[in-house]
Order: sequence, then C-alpha cells, then structure tokens
Amino acid sequence: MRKREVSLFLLIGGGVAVLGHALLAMLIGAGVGADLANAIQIVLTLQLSFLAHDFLTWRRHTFDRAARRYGRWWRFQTARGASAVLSLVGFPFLAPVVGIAPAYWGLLITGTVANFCTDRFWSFTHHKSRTSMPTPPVASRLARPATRAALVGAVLAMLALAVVFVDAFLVVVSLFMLLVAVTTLAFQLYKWWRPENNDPGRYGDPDAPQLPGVILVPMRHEEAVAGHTLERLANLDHPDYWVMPIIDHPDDPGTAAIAHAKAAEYPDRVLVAAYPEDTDVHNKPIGLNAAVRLLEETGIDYEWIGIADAEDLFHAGLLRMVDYRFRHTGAGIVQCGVQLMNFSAHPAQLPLPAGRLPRLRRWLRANASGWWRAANVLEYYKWFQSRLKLQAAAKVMPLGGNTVFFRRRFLDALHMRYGASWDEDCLTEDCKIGIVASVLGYSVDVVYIDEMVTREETPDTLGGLVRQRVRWMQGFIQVFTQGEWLELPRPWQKVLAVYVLGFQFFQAFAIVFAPFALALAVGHKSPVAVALLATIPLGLGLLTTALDLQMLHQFGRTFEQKVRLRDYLGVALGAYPYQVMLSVAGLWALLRHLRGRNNWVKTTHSGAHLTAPGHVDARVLAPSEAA
Amino acid sequence: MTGRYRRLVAGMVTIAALGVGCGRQPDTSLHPDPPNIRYAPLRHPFHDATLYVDTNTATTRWQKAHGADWLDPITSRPQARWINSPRDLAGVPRMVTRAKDRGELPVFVAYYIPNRGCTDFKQGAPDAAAYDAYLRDLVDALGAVSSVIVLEPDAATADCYNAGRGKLLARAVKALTSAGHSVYLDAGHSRWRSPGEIATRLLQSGIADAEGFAVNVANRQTTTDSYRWGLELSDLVGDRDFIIDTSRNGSGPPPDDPGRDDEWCNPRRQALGAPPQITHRPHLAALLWIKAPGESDGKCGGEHTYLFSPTQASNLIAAARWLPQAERAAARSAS
Amino acid sequence: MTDATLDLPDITENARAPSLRRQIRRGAQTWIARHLISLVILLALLALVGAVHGIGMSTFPGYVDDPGTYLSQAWSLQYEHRLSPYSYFYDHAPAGWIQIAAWSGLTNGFDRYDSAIAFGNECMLIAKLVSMALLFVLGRRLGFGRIAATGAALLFGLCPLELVYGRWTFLDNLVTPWLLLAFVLTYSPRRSIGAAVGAAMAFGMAALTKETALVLLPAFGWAVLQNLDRRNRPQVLVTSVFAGAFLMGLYPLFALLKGELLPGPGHNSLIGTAIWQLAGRAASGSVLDPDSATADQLHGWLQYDRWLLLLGLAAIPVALLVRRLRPVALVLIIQWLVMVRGGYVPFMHVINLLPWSALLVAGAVSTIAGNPTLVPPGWLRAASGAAHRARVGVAVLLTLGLVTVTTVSWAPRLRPMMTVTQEQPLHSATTWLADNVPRNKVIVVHDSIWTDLVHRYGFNPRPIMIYKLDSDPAVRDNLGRVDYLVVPDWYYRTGDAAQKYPTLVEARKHAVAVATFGAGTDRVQIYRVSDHWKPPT
Repeated sequence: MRKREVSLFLLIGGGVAVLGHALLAMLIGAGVGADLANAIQIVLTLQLSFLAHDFLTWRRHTFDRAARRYGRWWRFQTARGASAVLSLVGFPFLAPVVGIAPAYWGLLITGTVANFCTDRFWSFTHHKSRTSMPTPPVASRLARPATRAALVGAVLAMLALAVVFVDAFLVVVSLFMLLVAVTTLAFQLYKWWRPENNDPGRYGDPDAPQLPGVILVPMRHEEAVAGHTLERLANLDHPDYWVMPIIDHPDDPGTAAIAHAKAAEYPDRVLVAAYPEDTDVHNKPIGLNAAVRLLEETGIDYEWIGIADAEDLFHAGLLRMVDYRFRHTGAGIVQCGVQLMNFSAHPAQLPLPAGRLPRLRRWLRANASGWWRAANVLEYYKWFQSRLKLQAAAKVMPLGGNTVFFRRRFLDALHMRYGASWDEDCLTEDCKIGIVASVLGYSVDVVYIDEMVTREETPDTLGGLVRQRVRWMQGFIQVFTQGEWLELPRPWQKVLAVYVLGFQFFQAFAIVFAPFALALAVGHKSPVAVALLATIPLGLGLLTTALDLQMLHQFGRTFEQKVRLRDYLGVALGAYPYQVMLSVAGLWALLRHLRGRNNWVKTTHSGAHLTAPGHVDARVLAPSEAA
Repeated sequence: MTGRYRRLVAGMVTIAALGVGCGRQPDTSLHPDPPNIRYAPLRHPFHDATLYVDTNTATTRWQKAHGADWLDPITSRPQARWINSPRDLAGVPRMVTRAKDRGELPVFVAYYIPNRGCTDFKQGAPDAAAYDAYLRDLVDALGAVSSVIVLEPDAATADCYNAGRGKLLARAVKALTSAGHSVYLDAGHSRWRSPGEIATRLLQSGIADAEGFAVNVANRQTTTDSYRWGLELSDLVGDRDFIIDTSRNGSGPPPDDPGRDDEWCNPRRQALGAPPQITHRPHLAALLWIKAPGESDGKCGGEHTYLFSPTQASNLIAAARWLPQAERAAARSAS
Repeated sequence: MTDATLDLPDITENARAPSLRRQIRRGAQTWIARHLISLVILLALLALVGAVHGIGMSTFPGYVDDPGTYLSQAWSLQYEHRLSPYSYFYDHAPAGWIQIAAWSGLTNGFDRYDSAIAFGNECMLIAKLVSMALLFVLGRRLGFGRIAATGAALLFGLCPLELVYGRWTFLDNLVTPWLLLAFVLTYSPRRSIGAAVGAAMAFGMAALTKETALVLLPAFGWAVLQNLDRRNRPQVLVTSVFAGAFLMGLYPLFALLKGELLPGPGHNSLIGTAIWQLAGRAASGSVLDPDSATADQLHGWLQYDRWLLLLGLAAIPVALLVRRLRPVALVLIIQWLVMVRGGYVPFMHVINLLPWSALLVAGAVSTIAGNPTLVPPGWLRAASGAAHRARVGVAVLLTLGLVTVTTVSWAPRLRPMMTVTQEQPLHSATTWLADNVPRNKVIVVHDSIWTDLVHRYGFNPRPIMIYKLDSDPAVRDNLGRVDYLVVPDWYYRTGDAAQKYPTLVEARKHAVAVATFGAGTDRVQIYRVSDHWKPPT
C-alpha cells in the first residue's frame, strides 16, 4: 500500500511538473509576461496536482469523503505553499554555504519528502471525531522509539541550523526569550494591573459559615511541628470541621503518638487516619485517598476538603473566608495564599553544623543564603498573589500545593473519572488537579489576604531548595506526559497549558541564556537590529529585578519585617544565580524523569518560621524545644 | 459557505501574487524635448584656409616711413583689421578684393557697439540705428568675400551689458552670417568672468547663429589657459568653435600688482605670442593676432598715444622666444 | 447541613462557554454602543479635516528643505537597509523615518507616487488625522464635553497655520500623535499598568522620533503622577518608568553597538552630535527680542493665522486654575519658553504649539462654562444663580466669538491653500530631468527630489544632495565631477552662499541655465555644468 502511494505520488508530481513547464512555455509564447505566466502556471498546476492526488494517490483516505474535499484542498494549498515558500527562502541562504547544486537538490528532495509527509499525515487524512475512543495518552506516543528518534533528530537539525544561521537563530531565540520575559512580567504584575484588583476589600466580608468540611494533614516524621500544627488547626474559627492527620503508623511512631495525643485532646475535632499498609511507595496522594475512604466509612458529612502540610499555620479566620468564597463564587477549588516568611536567615535559627568553626560557618551560611531565601520568598509572594490569579483567569491552572480546598462535588467528579480523587502515580498531585479542573469546567478561586496567608519557611539549605524544585519540576513533566491537558476544550487552552506547565523550564533557561545570546550577537557581528532584539529580554529581566526590589519593600511593610540593605542587594545580585539554580534543577528533573526515578524526595523542616515576627499566636515553641 | 469562499479566493490570490514577484524597475527612458536652442551648423571657415596678411596696417606704414626692417616679424604675419567706425569701412573693399585675388581669408574686427567701453555713449555708435547702418555698410563693403568677423570685443563682457545690447548683438550676428560671413563673438579672457556668466550672455547675444567666440582679444593670458577656458565655454554654448588672440601673450599676463590697477597697460614684460595659424585641436579654430601687436594700450605705461608705438613693438619682438635670435636682437637694438 | 450553595456548573458548560472570537465580538459591540455618538462625531471630523488637509496638498505649500531628507532616509531604510543614504550622523533619532519606511514597506508607498514628497504628504495626512482623533479622545478623557472636544479637534484641524506646517513632512508632525497618545493613555480611566506602560512607551517613541520632545518630560511626568491610583502606584511607576527609559535607551544602545557613542576620530558619534546641537548651533535669539530671528519667525507664523497661537497663550492662565488641565498647560508653557530661551529654534517649532493651544482654548471655554469634571464645586463654579448665568453667558459668547473669528478669518485663508493648481517648480524640474538627462550624469539636487531621481528614474551615480556636497567628507572625497545643478534660487541668494555652498557657487560659474521653472525665490533653474570643468578636490 505504502509503495503504491509513493510511486503514484512521484509519478503524478513529475507529470504535473512537465505539464506546468509546457504550460509556461505556451503562455510565454502567446505573449503573456513572464511573471504573470509563472503565476498562472503555479496556480493551475497546484489545482491539477490536488485533483490527481485526491483521486488517485490518496484514494484510500479520500474515498467516500467528497463532502470534506474543501478542507483537504485548503490544507493541501497551505502545505504546498508553505513548502514552496520555505524552499524559495532557504535557497539563497543555503546556496552560498553548500553550493548551488547540492542546495537545489537538497531542497528539492526535502521538499518532496515534506510534501509527501504533509499529504499523508495532514492534508488527506481526516481526524476521527471526538465521540470516538480516546486517543492514546501522550506518554505512550512519546515512548515509541520512532517518535524519540524523530525528536532527537529534530533537535540535532535545529542545532545544526543554529550553528549555520546564527543570526536567524538569535532572532528566534530572542523572540522566544522575549515571550518568556513578557509572560514573567504578566505573571508578576497581574494583580496590580488594575487598581481594583488590589483593593483591600476585594474578597468581600465573610458571613456565617455554612459548610462542613475536613482538613487533611499528611505527616511523616514531623515530630518537631506536629503537635503545634494540630493544636492550631484544631482551634480555627469554624463551627463544623474535622482535622485528619494521615500517619504511617509502623514507619513513624513518634508522629503517630503526637497525633493520637491530640486526637484524644480534641475528640470531635481530630481524627487520625492511617496510611495504607499495602503499598511500598510512600506519597501524599495514596494517603489522601485513604483518608477519603476513611471519611466514607465513618460517614462524616463534609462539603469541602482542605489540604494542609505538617508545618502549616492556618490563620484562625481562614475557614470562614473559604466557606464564604465557596458559596459566593461557586468555585470548585479555593486556593489560599501560602507565604514563605524568612527571607534572610538569622544565624541563631540555623542548626550548628558539625566540624570546625561551627559558629563562623553558621554565620557565613546564614548571611550567604539570604539571596536565595529572599528570591524564594518573593517567588511565593508573586505566585500566590498574582500568577495564580492570571492562570485562574486563563483557566490553565497548576495549583499551589497546600492550603487548597476542594469542593466535594469536584472530588466526586474526579472519583468518577479516574476512580480515585488523587492520582497515586503522580509526584505532585496538586499540579494535575488544576488542569483537570479546567478540563472539567470547574473554576478556581484564588484568595490571598495578607493576614490570612499560611506561613511557611524556606528550605534549610540551598540543596534542600534544589531538591524541592527537582520534585516539582518532575511533577510538571509527569503531568505533561500524562496528557490530561489534551482534553482541554479549546486549542489555545492546550497551547497555554503546555506553555504554563513548561514555563518553569522556559523561564530558567531563557534567563540563563540571555547574556550569552547578547554576547553571541555582539561577538558574531550580527546586524544591529538582531543585537538590539537580544538586549530586550535582558532589559525586561532588569525590570523584573527592579519590581522584585519594590516587592521586597512592600513585603517587609506588610508583614512588619525589617528589610536591610543586604537583603535588597541579595535580591538584585542573586536574581541571575537563582535562575541558574532553577535551570540546574530543571535539567536534573528531566534526567531523573528520563531515567524513570519518581520517588518522593522530602524536604526537611526545622520550624524556623515559628519564631518569625508578626506571628499571631499565643503558644510559640522555643527553638530548643522544636529541635 | 461565504466565509469559505472568501478564504478560497484569498488563497488563490495570495498564491498568484507570490508567483508574480515584486519590485519595479526604474524608468530610464529619455524623451528629449526638441532643443529650445537651435544651433546653426558650423562652417569651419579656417579649414584649409590661408590667412590674409594685411599690408596696410599702422605698423607697415611706420615701417615704410622709417625703414625699420626689424618690424618684419610683425608686418609679415597676418593680423586682423579693426573697423572702429564707419570711416574705417573705406579701406575694406580694396582689402577684400586683394584677399580674394590671393585666395586668402581676411579677418575683421567690428568695434562700434553703442556705448562702447561703457563710456556713457561717448564711444561707439550713437544709437542702435546707427549701428545697424554701420553693419549694413560693412556687409556691403565686404561684398561677396566670405570673411571672418570678430564681433565687438568687450561688448558682451562689459559691466554695462544689458538685454538691449544682447539683442543688438544678436541682430548683428544674424545680419553678418546671413551675408555669408563667419562671426566670432568676443567672449573676454580667462581671468575675467566665469564661463557660465559669459555663456549666458553669449546665448542672449546670438551665439547660436554665430560660428563661435573669440578669447583673449587684446589680452595677454597664456594660450593654454585661454584654451582651457575656451573649451569650458564652448561646451556651454553648443560646442561652438573659438579663436584665441595670441598677438601679445608670449610672456603671459603681467603679474598682478595690488597697488595699481593699470598694470595691464603697456607692461614692460610682454612678447609676441604664437604666430597666427590654423589649428586642429578640438573646438579651437585658429590662433590669430587680433589686436595689432605694437599698438599702444592707451595713454599709460609710458605711452602717450592710442596708436602704433615702436617701443611696444620692439618689446614684443625682443621678448618673443619663438623668433630667431637675430630678429629679436634687431628689435632690441632698434629701441 | 443543607447544601445552600449555588449550582455548580455542569461538565459540558465549559465546552459551551463562548469562544474567544465571540467574546471579542460581543465586547466590541458593547463598546461601540457605548461610544456611538462620539464615534459618529469623530468620523465626521475625520472626513472634514481629511478633506481640508488632503485637497490640494500636492501643490501647496511649496517644497522646503527638510522633508526630502527624511523621505530619502526612509527610502534608504526600506530599499538598502541603512539609516541614511549618506552616513548617519545622529542628527535626529531615527524613529521618524523608520515609521515612514514601515508604512511604505506595508503599502509600497514609494511606488505609488511619482514623487517622494507626495508620499510624505500622504503620511502627514495620516498623522494629522490620527493626531486629531487623539486630540478629541484626550479632550474627552480630560473631561471636556463632546462639544468642547469637537471644538478642540476643529481648532487644530482647520487652522491655516497648522495646515501649512502640517502638510510638510516634518518630524514634529510625527511626534504630535505620539505625544497625544502618551497623554491619552496617561489619563486612561482604568489606570492599569498597561495604560501607564503604553503611555511611557508612547512618550519614548515621541522622544525617539524627535529628541526635542524630551523637554516635555516634566509635563508628562506631572500628568502621570496626577493620574496614579494609590493601590497600584509603586508597580505602575516602576514599570512605566522602566519601559519608557528602556525604549529611549535603545537609541544610545544602538550607537554603542555600532561603536559610535563616544566622540572619536574618523566616525560619527551620538554624543558629539548632541553636543554640537546643544552648544554649537547658531542661536536664533529670544522671541522677546524684536530683532531676533525667532521674532521674525513668529511674525511669519502670525501671518498665516494669529488666532490659535494667541488664544492658546491667553488660555494658559485659565487652564492653570484647573487641576486637570495643568499638565497640558505646562506643555504649552514649556514650548513657549523654548522660544524665549534664546537658543536655536527651528522654523517648524510652531507645530509643537498648535495642538496644545487648541486643547487649552477648548478647555478654557469649557471651564468657564462650568464643566463639572474640570471645575470642582466651590468658588469657581456656582450651581445656580447670577454667577452661574454670567458664566454660561460668557462661555456662550466666547464660543460664538471663536466660531465667528475662525470662520471669518480662516475660510478665506484656507481656500487658496486648497486650490493651487500650478505644479511645484522642483516637480516640473524632475520631470524635465527625467526626460532630457542621461542617467549617468551627476546632478546636485535639492533633497526633496533626490529620492525620485534615484528610485523612480534610476540615476546612477547617485545625485548629490546640495547640503551634503560640502559637508560630508565621503562626498567630497569621491566627487569626480558635477554635471547639473538643480536647486531652488534661494540657495544662490542667501547672503553667505559662498561660505555655505562653495562648490555649488563655484560650479554655477561654469554652468549655463538650460531650463527654468517657477518664479521668485522658489524659482528653479537647471544649470548644465561644462563638461570640461572639474570641481576642485
């Protein structure tokens, strides 16, 4: 079958070419101008070849589909036109490099192959309708060795082109970096875009709470903070809710003991759920699903489920606001703000490292880590205030992780679709749920109120941050490969979903590469326009840093923390290294994914945020107690 | 279906447009207007001609009267006959008859323009009518002998040149050329006015009908400089031919003395220029002696007459390097 | 607990949510419905002013010195990808002719007309229409009623002085729309970051079109600060300042990348030219000094029309009383102060005065009439009573007076500007050259016909622009010969022609006039230079 198509394709192509030449000669002989004759000849031969291919070569695909010929015709014209234009454009570039004859034949052969492929796979095929069986997930398609080889080949070809046509490469890369930089700015500025979005009273005034709910708190080796967290969670301002710590009893007796103690203290508030024994993988989704099953069994009435991390400190009035927002906006998910608080480490908060000169090393470590802590804090600040809102508005919604509340209806829909509310194979379950919400049509409400944010801490060490990021990025990759985003109803939403999922990678690589692009432009003596284009992403990067500085100032004012000059310097000078770090994390995540290592890498907490100022609570653990 | 139809048409148009190509060629077609100046064809009067040696000049008469053979370098060579007033017309017929008998080409200088020399009409013809009469008489006197006429030295170049004078000169050119003579309008010399200015004046003065123009009349600019200037000017007036007066430019122009403004008048250093000859250089018809060598420039430079002065003649001959030493010595010893 | 919640959306509702295209269309329909009256008025204004400006724009006013240069630079940008056919020496930031080249590239502009100046006229018509529309919008955003905004637009669009100067392809005519856009966006009712960034970038574009727009930075800054909202003020300021500064910084960055930022031997430099322009140019004198060149210029402008300029001046004090009009008043004050300062004032400076004068006159009349947005209740505005009647009466009288004066004074002046039928002498000269001169002759031309000779008629070697003949070292070094001189008479008649254009004056001495077009100082004589003369090296 394939051979027949190929031979017919070549035959018809050759025949039409000869006809076209004859037509051209005839027209010119009749006195028509050369340009006009060429145009007429091109148009007529295109139509001829379309008809011939439609009836002969691709008969198998087009049989009995006469009604959709117009679509085929349109695709055919576009594909052939594009390939012709590319050949036209490519020839003057290639000819000086490889010689006229190789360029000509190379383009001809490439063009023929490309035309055949577009004919075969696009112009003359018809997609199956939507009501048919679902397409196989992207992962399996990506796993095929042919696809992998094609991807690798495409990447190599692009690199080769980049080396040969440096200017064009620079233009393309600069445009892409410009897009990334503009998106970064849009994410950063969305909240402040209109003054109304920044109005203190924009969320409304919560009235009496009406919805019962449950807060799930997965815990693992959290002896330092478990008790305090559960204590606080149990005392929130809401009449009807449960707190369910999820603990793996055999692995984690210490935390289990604390949890059961709290359950005993607050019998109709705290209920301990056991992590299922019959799995050897430990991750959050399994625990959450087990907790939900326990809820079913015990018959507790709940309208919403909230997720809290072991170190989260909810604001007392948070649940009232969540309740109000659920009823007021009809959202399926309410995402509340999470904020890292420690943008500069105080030496006293860090543990004394073992070895020589411990105090000096601790002081050094504290002061030298300010840059990435501040960047991390600002990241959360921007993410929860601004970026999540923009994503919610665009209905492409990776979520934030914790302090997220799900409506029962939504969880039931998930259960119906996937058999379980949380995907137990995924590393970051929260990311995928956001996409699925868009797919299913549930809106997300993002609530960020300065006083009510959940306060968290930055990881202890840079290594910890990197590991955290590796986990998150791997999660994004997993969500991408699982292909849920393909179910999004509109094409632009699909594109947006891929862009947002991959944005962390794009952003990191783009910012890291920006100075090199400019150096390359200047060193290669590209046209000035190209060099100017390459400076724009750098300029936008500077703007981002300037806005970061202003945001740090605002952060300090809001949360009543003193921001010193060295913190500002850390933000300004550490912006680029931070993106380098993120690139490293991205690469590491990619490698881990390709090697198939998906286990859960946990970050340790030391309770540093508990002693942060501005903390509204009576009982504060002393650092020695926490340690 | 209308949306689809529109897309169909748009698609075909785009494809066709791509095929036609773009860019336009500049329009280099020339459609020269008919020339607004019609130049009369050149007659080349000096071609294959011999110049007439005038035996009735002031120099010859003085030579005869004083037996000064040392004046031979001047008297044996052709020079132009100046017709400064209607009285001078009397000797013309005999001259042209003699020239015709010998088959030689006479050269005349008409020098009677009204307000000649910008002297407030004290010199030259009293008015245009008198000038026209003079011309008619000149034509009559010349008869059927085709001559070369240098028309009005310093007329077109004068400060008092105006449109009226231009018209007058044009009439003169027409009158003379229609009678079969070749007219060379005087154009001044290379150190006075710019070629552009002279060209404009000459065009107003009828150079289109004339054979050409005369350069360096009564002046002493070098032949090279005069030729360069004349070439420039010739290009601006329809490639007319020109003649250069080489009577006294053998030593070039006298050096410019900022303290005096009459250093041009009978200078000490002057010499006979190239002898009169027909030349074949582009546009240069001939080198002529138009100003009579030996005639004083005026009552200045040690002279008290406008007429022939033997001092001037001997200076000219003695300094002429192209003359044999004997003749030069003879002139030197004679003064 | 009862489920007292709203109905959650069904799964399929998202699929039925309106597509982006439909949303946009619906949004557009609501917007049009809301602004229908203004749109109708605006369309009528555009038609009227477009007709007045466009009819007769190819024959009046005559050619002047700069438009040809800008058009030739736009031509070389489009066809040779260089900023100037000669070496670019940073006399003006290039955005002005970049815009002209972009428009020509889109619409094949240079091919559609037989004269580049005609194409420039088309660009100026577009700029005038855009400026007028933006003036209307700015008036509305400042709080004028529709009548006052229409008045401002008409004052600007129909003023004879503006017509004359607006028809010439000057950079100032391209700066005006950008400045107006900057102010329009500054006064955006939504006060979003996008509006502020757009305003800053529009101002940056104005500065890049002609760098003298930077003098208006204080007024623009004041307008921005006046219109901030406390809730997003820091972000708006940081982002917009950065955007504007970055856009403007692209110009020195461009120079830096070419190695031409700092002065040095053998190359142009941005800073060198800037220093020359600020300190090296001959001062025109202050307008207050009756003997100065500036006073003469003002006198010349007033000959075309004195009402708009002087009324604008008179409206400044009234505008200063109104908070919302103060930044605009400051713009006009700054532009007048430029003339008082006594430095170099280009002769087209009046273009910078007219739109703001129109705005302020309309604003002043509107204030006196008691416009509630402009005038807060208080001693300036009485809601009723004798004072109110007096004010309204005065406003009505003023409006009537304005209408009368402009109709009586402007209509007879506009008429001859629209009905000139005689072709411009330089244009006729170009046609003569195309018909009679072989293409390999070297012509010294006025800049306004340079592009035609190169693009349409293919003269090669290229003609030489008259003011480059003696000032550009590259031209001087490569000057083999000169064959024709085609410049208007005013070049020969200026007092210091021999110093400014020595080669031209010298060449004319060796040339004869072969054709003459026009009369007076605009007369153009085509001189043919003698073949046997070479210009002195």
